[in-house]
This record gives sequence, structure tokens and C-alpha cells, in this order.
Amino acid sequence: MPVDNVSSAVNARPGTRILASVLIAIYLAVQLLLPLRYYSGASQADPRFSWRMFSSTGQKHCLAKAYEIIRQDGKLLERPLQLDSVLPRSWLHILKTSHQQNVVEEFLSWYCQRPGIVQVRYESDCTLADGTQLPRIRLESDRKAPLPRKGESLP
Amino acid sequence: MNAWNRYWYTPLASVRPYLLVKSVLAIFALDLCVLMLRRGHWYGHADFNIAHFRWLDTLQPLPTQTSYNCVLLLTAILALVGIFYSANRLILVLILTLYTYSWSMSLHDAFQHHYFISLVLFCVACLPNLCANDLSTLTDRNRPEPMHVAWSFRLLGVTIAIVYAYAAIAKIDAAWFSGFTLQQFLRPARFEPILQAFAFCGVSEQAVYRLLAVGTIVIELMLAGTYLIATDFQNRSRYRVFYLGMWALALIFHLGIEIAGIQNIGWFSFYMILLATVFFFPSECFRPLAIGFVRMASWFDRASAWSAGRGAGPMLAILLIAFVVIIGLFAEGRYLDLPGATYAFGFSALLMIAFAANHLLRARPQSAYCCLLAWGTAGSVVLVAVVGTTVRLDYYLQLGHDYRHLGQWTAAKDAYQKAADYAGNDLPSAAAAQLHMGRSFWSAEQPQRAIERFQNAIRIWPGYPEAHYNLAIAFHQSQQTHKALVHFREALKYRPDWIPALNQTAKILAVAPDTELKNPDVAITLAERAAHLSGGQNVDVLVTLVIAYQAAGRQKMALSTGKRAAALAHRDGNVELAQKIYKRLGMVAPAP
Repeated sequence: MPVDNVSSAVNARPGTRILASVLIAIYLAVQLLLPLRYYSGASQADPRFSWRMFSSTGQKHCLAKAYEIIRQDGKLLERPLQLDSVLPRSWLHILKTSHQQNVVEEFLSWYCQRPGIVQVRYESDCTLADGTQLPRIRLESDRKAPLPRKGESLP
Repeated sequence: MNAWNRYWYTPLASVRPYLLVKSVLAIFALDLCVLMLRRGHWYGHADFNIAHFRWLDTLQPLPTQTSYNCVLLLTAILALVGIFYSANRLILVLILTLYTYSWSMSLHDAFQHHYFISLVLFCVACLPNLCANDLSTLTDRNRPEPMHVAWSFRLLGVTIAIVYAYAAIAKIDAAWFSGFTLQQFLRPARFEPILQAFAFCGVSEQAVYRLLAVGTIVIELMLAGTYLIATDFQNRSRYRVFYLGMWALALIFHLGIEIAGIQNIGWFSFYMILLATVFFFPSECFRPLAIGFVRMASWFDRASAWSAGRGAGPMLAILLIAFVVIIGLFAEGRYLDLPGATYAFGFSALLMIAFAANHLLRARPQSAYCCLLAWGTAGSVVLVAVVGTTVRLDYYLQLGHDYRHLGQWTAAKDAYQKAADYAGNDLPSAAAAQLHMGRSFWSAEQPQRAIERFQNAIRIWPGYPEAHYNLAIAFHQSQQTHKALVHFREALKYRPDWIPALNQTAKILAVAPDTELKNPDVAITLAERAAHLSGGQNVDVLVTLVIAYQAAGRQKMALSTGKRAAALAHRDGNVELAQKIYKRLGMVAPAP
């Protein structure tokens, strides 16, 4: 190979090559380890950055319900929460499919801050594509402790 | 040189990274304008948002349509500038930052391929800053092919390998191997001919799915391995067939995904085919394309040189051209008529001024001309890409649906009006916009205006059953039964098995006070068909059937159907309706 037709900044300065090698190593470590977060089970509720394209685990059908507990005439009253009337369609899809549990948690915290709301509860029963029933997802949030608490049967 | 250095720092044909930048930017700019921009209507509703990273929530708690569209359009313009002018590192880093911000500002957008494109852009931004001049020797076949050390080109190859490998690993489970999961993804209508072809050869449907499922994993692992070793070996004749074979495999695999109709992956397949081409094809095949880019660059240079020779002097000419391009960009932004478009084109004008000023300060007037021309061309391409497709129609139609869903009727009507304006020759969409506008007027308790819109929809598309049905309902509610019946019949003419239309028509024919209209026998026929189509499970239809039987004096049939309807109402927890049915039948409701 003729030398005069090869050019690069990396060739020009040896320090640049070391810097590039460090950058490559860090980048590769992140790319290899980030998806493992999901596959190792450390972050099952968050499938982002896992390259889980068209896999079986992504294929689940969920039936999600939400309930709100409000204070009315000095009494506590529990009633179903009509998700459709609260959020736009784009968020509803995420809430109803339970693919992103962090979205559900944030939603509960957000909704709990509305006037008159004492507590909000979310329940979702999911079935995998092969018919396997997953444990019920149950999350709740109340005004005093707006961070959602996870139910005992959380997967 | 150790193995690490040999892997990352062996020179490769310069044409490969050069074309990677240009082709990725081209498909990327179109992707932003034609596909991603349509999703802008998702943003800014209900004061609720979650970003991909918490610190972004602090930076921008509620992304709006304006901010999202502005970021996308500005990124698209910059990508096109990278093609026409120069993909220098500053522009590439700006593109990477803006694009990554566009998807990470909200979990609305959790598409994995958007994250993947950010990684591609990162690798592209780290490539050596190649320009057309670096490839000018390609036009002379006697001179050696230019070579460059491009470690980030190989890094991109490894990134793609990691993606394929994890995608294969994620599929290793019983449900996938049985072919069941794959069956869920595929659209049966598109896949039917393939299944029939296999059935002809005696292969069962389940076996085909199992074969495809296993084949998918094998192909993904093979492609992962090939990307890891894809250096410049493909130029050696004995490996050429192997790499071309792998390219063909990638092509079949990703085109297969598109043909099978697997949705929600945007243009991911096309990105992957493009990347396979850049990595696996012999570099001399790219020579004509690269020469084309070199000629385009020299055209810009010549045009700039020509401009530099005009007028009273370079400075005055530059100012004149800059003025025209700035006015053009603002006009294009306004013409697009999308939230944030004017800001995007305005920001791009500011960036253009900064880049051109930088050239002038360095006494490079020709580069300044080139910059102005490239920016003007990029703005025009974005305008054509958006205006020449159905982006604005879809955007406003979906925005109208969003507003209607949240009960914001006025905003919904405005959005539908815009959708109607941008429907152009797409008559079904224009009619749909009028129909939805009518529904919004109806919900906003403006029945007369709703009727006008439904009539507009029918005028545009006379065979639109939904428009006839809605108009009929509107007439019926405003006591214009004759007109209502005409349009219910029209709806049934175009959609004979539509249960709500059958039910409503039957109801009118059964109870109409006007003897001219009343026709219990036809009402029974229609209601029985509706009951049959709904499998006898629709309470409302059964109630209509009861009314029709009673109107025809067939009390026995009315009684048995009524009991079934009441039982269904009880089952659904609608006790009130069950009691009403019993009352109609002249019976006392049984104790619960």
C-alpha cells in the first residue's frame, strides 16, 4: 500500500491514538453492559436500550385498570379512574400495555397531586404471547408519599 | 502494531467513510421530514411528560409541539447542509446533539432504532473530516485509491454487531423457537402467499414459522460476526463473494421484515440495508457515486466562483445572496405551517450567518458563497419533502384526534380544518377531515354546523358510509326522520353489514310515527341481520329487535328476545336497562 495516499489525524499524533483507544474502550464497555442491565433482571421494568427487537418478552397483552380514592363529604370514596379522559392517546398506550413501568410510576405521582385525590392505584394483568400469565403489577401512590409503592406481587 | 491497533487503525478506502456520511445524512434528513415530523402532535398535551433522563425534565419539563418540530426541522436542514456543503465535525456534533435531544425529551418516543441512529451519528461525527477534494484522485484510475485511518468506521461496525447479537440473544426462548411469537408479528394477508407456496411443497404452516424463527436468529448472528470482521478484506477477490453474499442476506432479511409488514420500526430496515451496502460492497463499486459527489461539490464551487465574480464586489454580492437566502428561509418556515417551523428555519438562518461570517473572517469568500448556496438548497429540500408528502395532513388529522380525545373541541376543529386544507387530491382524507370536524361541532353542541360538515364530507366522497351515518344521526336527533332514513340507507348501501347502521335504521322503521315511514317487517329483517352479525350478544340490537317484533304484533318472539336481552344486560351489570326491558315486555323484573 502506498504511504502517500494514507492520511489521518490519528496517525499524525501518537497522543490522539491513545485518546481514541480510551474512547473506543469506554464506548464498547457501555454498549456491552447497558443491555445487560435488562437481561440480568436488574431493570426488567425498563426495556430501553436493550435491543429487544421482536422478542417474545416484548409481546404481552395487558389489561390495566386504575382507581382513585377521593375525599367527598368527609368520606373516602374509591372509584375507577378513566385513564382515557386524563391523558392523551399517546401516553395511554404506554399505560395500558405496561411496557414502561417508570411511566406508570410517574403518572401515579403526577395524578396524586390533583386536588381532592387522596390515593391512586394501578393494576395490570399481563399475559405473554404463549399464554403464560405474569404476576399482577400493582402500584399505588398517595398524596403524603407520592412516590409509588410497589405491590407484593410485583414481578 | 499489536492486534488492537491493527483492528482499529488499519487504513481503509476513503470512499467508504465519505459515502457513509453522505448516505446516512440523506436518508436521515428524509426520515426526519417524512416520518418523525408526523409524530409532533404527541407533544405538549395535559401538562404531563417524562423525559428519558431525569435531568432533561428539569431542563424542559413539558416539551411542546413547537420545540419538538423545531428541533427536528433544524436537524434535517443541518443534515442536508452536511451533504451539500461540508459535513464538518461541528455540524455533525450539532446534528447528533439535536437528534438525540429530539427523542430523549419524552418517553413518548421509546423506539430503539432512534437510539441506534444516535449511535450511528456518534460514529459518523468521529470520522475523519473528509471532503470532496480528498476523493478527487478517484477520477483518475491510474492513481492509487485514497486511504484513511477511520477507527470510528470500525466502531460503527462493532456497534451494529452488538445490536444484531443482542437482538438474537433476546429471541432465545421457547415461545420464539416454536414460531408463536413470529406469528404474532406477521401480517397474515401479506404472508399468506408464502405459506401457500410452502404448503404446496408439503411444509406445514407451523413448520414454516419455526424455520423462520430459527433462521432469524442464525441470520442475526451471522451478520453480527460479519460486521465484526468487515475490514477492507472485501476488496480481496477471494472474500468478495462472501461479503456480497452477506450483503444479499442482509437485504433479504430486512426487506423481508418490510414485506412481512412488521410495523413501528420506521425506516430501520432501510438504514440497515444502507449500512450493509457501505460495509460489505467492494469499494470500487462506490467510485461512480463518489465521483458524482465530487462533481456536485465542484458545481457548488463553480457556482460560488461565478457568484463571487458578479456585482460591485464580493462583499456586496455575499450580502445580497445572504439576504435572499434568509428571506427565503423565513418564507419557507412560514409556508410549512407547522408549529416550530418558523423557529427552525430562523435558527438555521442564524447558523448560516455564523458559518458564512467565519469564512469571510478567514478571507474565504468562495466558501462563504458555497455555504449560503448549500443552506438555501437544504431549506428548499426540507420544504419539498414536507409539502410533497402527506406529513401536514396526517399531523393535523392526528392532532385533531388528540384534542377531541381530551374534549378540546375548538382546538380539534381548527386542527381538522387544517387537515382538510392540506388534503389536496387525497379525497378520502379530505372527507375524513370534514367528518371529524363535524363530530367536533356536534360534541360542541353546534348541530347545524356539524350537519354542514357531514354534508361537505359526502360532497367530497359520496360513497363515505361513516359520513352518511353521522349525518343520519344528526338529522334523527333534530327530528328530521325522513332525511335520517335516507342517509342510514345510503350508509348501508356502501357498508351493508354495519351493525350500528342496521340497528338505527331498524329502530326508525319500527317506531316511526309517520305511517309512510313505518315498516315493522323490514325493521325485523334488518334487526335480525344485526343480531346475527353481532352473534346475539349486542343488547342494544336485541332491544331494537324486541321493539320491531312488538310493532309487528309478534309478541311471543318479542318476549323470548326481550328475556335474552335482559339477561345480557344483567350480565353486563346494567340493571337499569334490564328493568326497562322487563317493563317494556310488561313483566316484573325478577329479584336479583
